[in-house]
Amino acid sequence: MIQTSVELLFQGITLGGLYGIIGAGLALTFGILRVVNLSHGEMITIGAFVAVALVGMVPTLPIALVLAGAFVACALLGAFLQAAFVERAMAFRDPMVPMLTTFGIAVVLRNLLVETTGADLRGLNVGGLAQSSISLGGMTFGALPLVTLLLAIGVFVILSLLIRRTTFGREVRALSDRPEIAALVGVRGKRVHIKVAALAAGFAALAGVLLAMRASVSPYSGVSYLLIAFEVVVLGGLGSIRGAFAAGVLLGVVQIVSSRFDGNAGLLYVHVTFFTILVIRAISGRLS
Amino acid sequence: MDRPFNLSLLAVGFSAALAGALTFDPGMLFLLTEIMVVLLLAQMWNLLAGFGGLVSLGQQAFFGLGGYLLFIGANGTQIPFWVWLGVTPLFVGLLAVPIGLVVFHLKNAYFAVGMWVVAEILSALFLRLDFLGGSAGIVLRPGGASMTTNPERLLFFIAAFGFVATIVALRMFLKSTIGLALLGMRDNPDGAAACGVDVRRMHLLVFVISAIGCAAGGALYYITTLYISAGDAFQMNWLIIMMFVSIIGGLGTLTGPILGTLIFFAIREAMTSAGFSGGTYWIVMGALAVAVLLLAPRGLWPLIRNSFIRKTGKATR
Repeated sequence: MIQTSVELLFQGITLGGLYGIIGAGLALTFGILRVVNLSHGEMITIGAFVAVALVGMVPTLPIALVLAGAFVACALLGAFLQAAFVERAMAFRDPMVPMLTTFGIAVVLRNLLVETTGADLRGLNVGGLAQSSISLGGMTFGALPLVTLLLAIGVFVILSLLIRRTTFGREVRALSDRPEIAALVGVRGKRVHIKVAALAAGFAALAGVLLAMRASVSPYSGVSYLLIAFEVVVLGGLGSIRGAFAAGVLLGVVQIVSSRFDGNAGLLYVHVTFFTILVIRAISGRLS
Repeated sequence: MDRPFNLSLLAVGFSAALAGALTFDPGMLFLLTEIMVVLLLAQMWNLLAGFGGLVSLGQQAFFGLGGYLLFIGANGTQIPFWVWLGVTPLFVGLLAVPIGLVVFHLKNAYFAVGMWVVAEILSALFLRLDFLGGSAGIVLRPGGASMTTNPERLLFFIAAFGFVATIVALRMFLKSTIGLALLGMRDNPDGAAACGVDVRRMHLLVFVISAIGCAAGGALYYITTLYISAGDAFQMNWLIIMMFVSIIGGLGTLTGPILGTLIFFAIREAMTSAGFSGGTYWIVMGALAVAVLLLAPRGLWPLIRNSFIRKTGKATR
């Protein structure tokens, strides 16, 4: 009993770590670009499909290289989309224009993916990672969840260091607090925007690869991942990377525990949990 | 000047709907009813986003609810489904009140995606709960008996005349004091609030009207298909259609969404007959929407209208 609950909790935390990563990417783009990037979910699926393609070409490719490949591919795509479309849309005063633009981009990307790969669910197995496991104190932990957890912590630490310790991070913080003054003292806004978009897309791709290894992936998976990312951002608080990970873990645990008791529920309980917290916050007035 | 125009619009709409219902063959009527439903949905999204300033990504929730509640009501009782067609949208409008009161705590983009979560929850519920149809969906069997005749002629008439009546109603609404307050609120929320406009109540009003319209669209559409499932009724594509059509045609105008709908169906029918897959078609629509957003964010209709005004030098509305 205790053993199963510890294992469930562990699974929930590792899944939540991935949700934290996708939420942190969305929070980053919103914090700096002031754009709710609705094509974020597509970056997650495209990352997974890049991994599927890489493993299809070289089946023995180690996990680190697969993750790197997906990261680079999506970071380039994210930078291109930002430079070519979103940056232009941000020039309009209405904040809804960039959001709707990213929505249009998402529809195009999703259907391009359907046309090239087919609409079927795909599994992803890198180096037998899903089957191998490690025993610890009488309890077995899968190798995949451990890799996932390490990656989530790694992304969290790297992101915090990047934002707090580097010149890039200083520019990012300056742009998010006072864009006009930042531009005045020589921060190149567009260049930082492109870097931020690339970073968020790259992290989304990393999470996408591991999410596909946990379950499977189809071109339509992006929609539900986008919603989870959004829920993570709202629950965790804007611009708070730590909050994003806490919220991700909450939703991950809810999903794992609910699927244990109700196998066909999908994301129903995750969405209901989010909405319930929202209602409670709304009633208690802690939401503005 | 406005009153005779509205009355003649109603008269022309009535005769055109009647003539169409009596002359076209069933296949054509099916397509035309679908076009009417999309026109209505687009106008409802336009009312919410273009006039009310509330961009929602979850209006498919009300579309699906409208369809489902009609099926559940008609199949479970002896009351004719035509009555349910009138009652269901109003009931969905009532349901929209508590939903709106919660979701309005979210602002702008958060409201948009919050509504999307509402739609996803409803979709999952209808898929999950067997008394709501479950994953198999529901076949329309009014009073428990199979449909013997297909009511496509009357349905088309209701859809077509209903749409014209909606346009006339929207024209009158936007000219009324409440409508003017709405436009003022969209252009300058703080200013309007200072003039005594209750922003929250206005938002709730357009939100409920939009929900009623979307539910009517869902109820009409699923009577023509005779079958409803959660995967279809609550799908994102309904929202994508209403949104793309409004954006391409021109948000915040009554003519824009009509133009957008015509473009949408022209592209769809042309591409389907040329043998392209559904995916390619969505790629074209998405690219068109992005292009319009970046090059003419107010849509195609204002562009056309302005160039017409410039050419003739006449200030027409």
